[in-house]
Amino acid sequence: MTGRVTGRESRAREFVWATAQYESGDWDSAPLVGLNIVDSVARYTAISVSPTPVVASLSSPGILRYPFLFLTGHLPVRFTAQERANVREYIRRGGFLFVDDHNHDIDGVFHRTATEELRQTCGALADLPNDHELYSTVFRFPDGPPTTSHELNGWGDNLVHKHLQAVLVNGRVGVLYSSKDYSSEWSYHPESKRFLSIDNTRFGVNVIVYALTR
Amino acid sequence: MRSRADTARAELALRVVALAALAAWGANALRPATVRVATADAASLASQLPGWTGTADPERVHVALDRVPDRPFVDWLAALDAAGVRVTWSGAIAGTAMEAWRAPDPSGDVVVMSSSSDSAIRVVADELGPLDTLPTARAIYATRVRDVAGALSMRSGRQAAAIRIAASAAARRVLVIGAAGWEAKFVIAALEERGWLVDSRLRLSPDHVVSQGSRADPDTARWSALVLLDSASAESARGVERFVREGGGLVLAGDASRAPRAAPLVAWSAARRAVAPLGTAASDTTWRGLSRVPLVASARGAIELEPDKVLARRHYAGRVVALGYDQTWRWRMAGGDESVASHRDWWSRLVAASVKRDSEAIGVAPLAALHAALGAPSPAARVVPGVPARGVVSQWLGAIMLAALLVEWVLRRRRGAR
Repeated sequence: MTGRVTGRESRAREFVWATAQYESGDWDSAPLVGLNIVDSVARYTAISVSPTPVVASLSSPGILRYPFLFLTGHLPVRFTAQERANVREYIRRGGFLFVDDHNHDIDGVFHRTATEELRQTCGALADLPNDHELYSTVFRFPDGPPTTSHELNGWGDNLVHKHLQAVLVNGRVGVLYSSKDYSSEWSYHPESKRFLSIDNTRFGVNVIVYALTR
Repeated sequence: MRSRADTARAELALRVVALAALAAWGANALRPATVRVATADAASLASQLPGWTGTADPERVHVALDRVPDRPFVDWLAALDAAGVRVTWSGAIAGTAMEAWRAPDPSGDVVVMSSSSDSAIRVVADELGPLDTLPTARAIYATRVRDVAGALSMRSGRQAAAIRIAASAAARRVLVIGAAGWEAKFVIAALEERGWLVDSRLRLSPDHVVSQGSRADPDTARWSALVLLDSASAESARGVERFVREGGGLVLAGDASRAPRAAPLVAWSAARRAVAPLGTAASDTTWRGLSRVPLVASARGAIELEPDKVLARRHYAGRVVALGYDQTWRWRMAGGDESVASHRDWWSRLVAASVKRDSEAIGVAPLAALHAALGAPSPAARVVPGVPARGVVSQWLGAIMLAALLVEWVLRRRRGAR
């Protein structure tokens, strides 16, 4: 498994938001999340970011060019053998996979299938303590992961999830799993942030900065 | 009963015997010493040395060697030589030497430098068995071995050399300073995975730094090495020159060598950043990623570990290592199957190269030690079989002379003469 330099990479040193494309399910259900979070990273930090998110197919070794991958969807997640091998290698090498349940439903098909796939591919998910450094890297979230409007509105499983879950690799988060539906929470055009009293993408900045520094 | 005439003839005969013995004693003193020649390997030397030291008492010993004996026997021969027995040796022995030291990193690896003048395969072993086999193509070869149990030895043909390395040092702490990004993340990961204790200060913005560990200025009491990942970090870090002057290790990555504050520490200049040609494999170790800042050595004593890519120099008690690579994370993430381990080992070795060793290297060179103890080899001595040693002959002649004179005196007394 090895990659080659492409023209785009030869010019870039910045962070690139990559959305994971997988064979099953609706992997592209939250197309604005990447743009929105990249915009926030650029607003709050001096990290060099690529303004254009990319799509990385899990069946291709090309995912190794992007140490950060975002995976979301509503439908069942069933990795092919190649996808499973690539994701396993991706995590072994130090990649960061952020998985968000777009259903916000722990009885939903995405949650049940995705967690099972991740368990088989990367290891069992465990609750991430709410005092983990992920919640204080840039902005402080003393109560753990910020709630989403979908949780508070009672949609999905009608639960406010107290923890995110993670697979740790050498003490670092390799897979971050959310049942909170940040895909819906952050899926709006960055220009609309000015209408919010508190920017709800700040936790997304924490996730990116954690991935870049730990 | 003997007549007086018979007694007088006997006395005369005894005087003649005594004079003859005296003459022979003088002649014996003038003849060359008899040489005891021994063809010795380690086993026969062990059995013969006690005899040479005790009852046999040779005047010269010559040992024909096919290899350098173990150190105690060389010392024994040297002691024999110092005690008056001239010891010489001969033999075509291949020169073999080994030097080893504990790598100054948390791995506990032992670095072994070996050299040999013959073409035999060199086997590095510890007390539990072989650890590594070194190729014969190069006279000098370096390797790293792990988990050494007891004495470390190297065998080349019949020649062996052994040394004992001190126990592993404690884990070491490193401070990494750079911009938040993949390079910083994966450098820290590589060092931590290799056992280094890593503190970090990663810049998010001019007024926001993500820190881990102490925020004090660099000092050798806290950190063994300092890694600066870019020129902005090199320019903003305080006390770096003092840290290196006091024995700290410094690694300047990417364009960190370009920072004005790093100028007193470098003996090279950083050229314009170069980008790998399209299609370069991420596993290509020429690039280790896809870009680098070429480093051009100046005349101030830089050592090129990898020409125009990795350079090093001393600065007072410390060492500075510079590398132009600035995206080695791509090598780790998108390189070949071994790239994670390669990336980890490469970074750990670079940092270790900058760190002061706990102890000096221990070396052993058996042939050189033999030369030092017994001098240069000399041709095999002439063998005179069946001739007793000069000392033994002198003792016998002296005894004969004394006995003859004593009997002659007794006979004279018995016949009433004085």
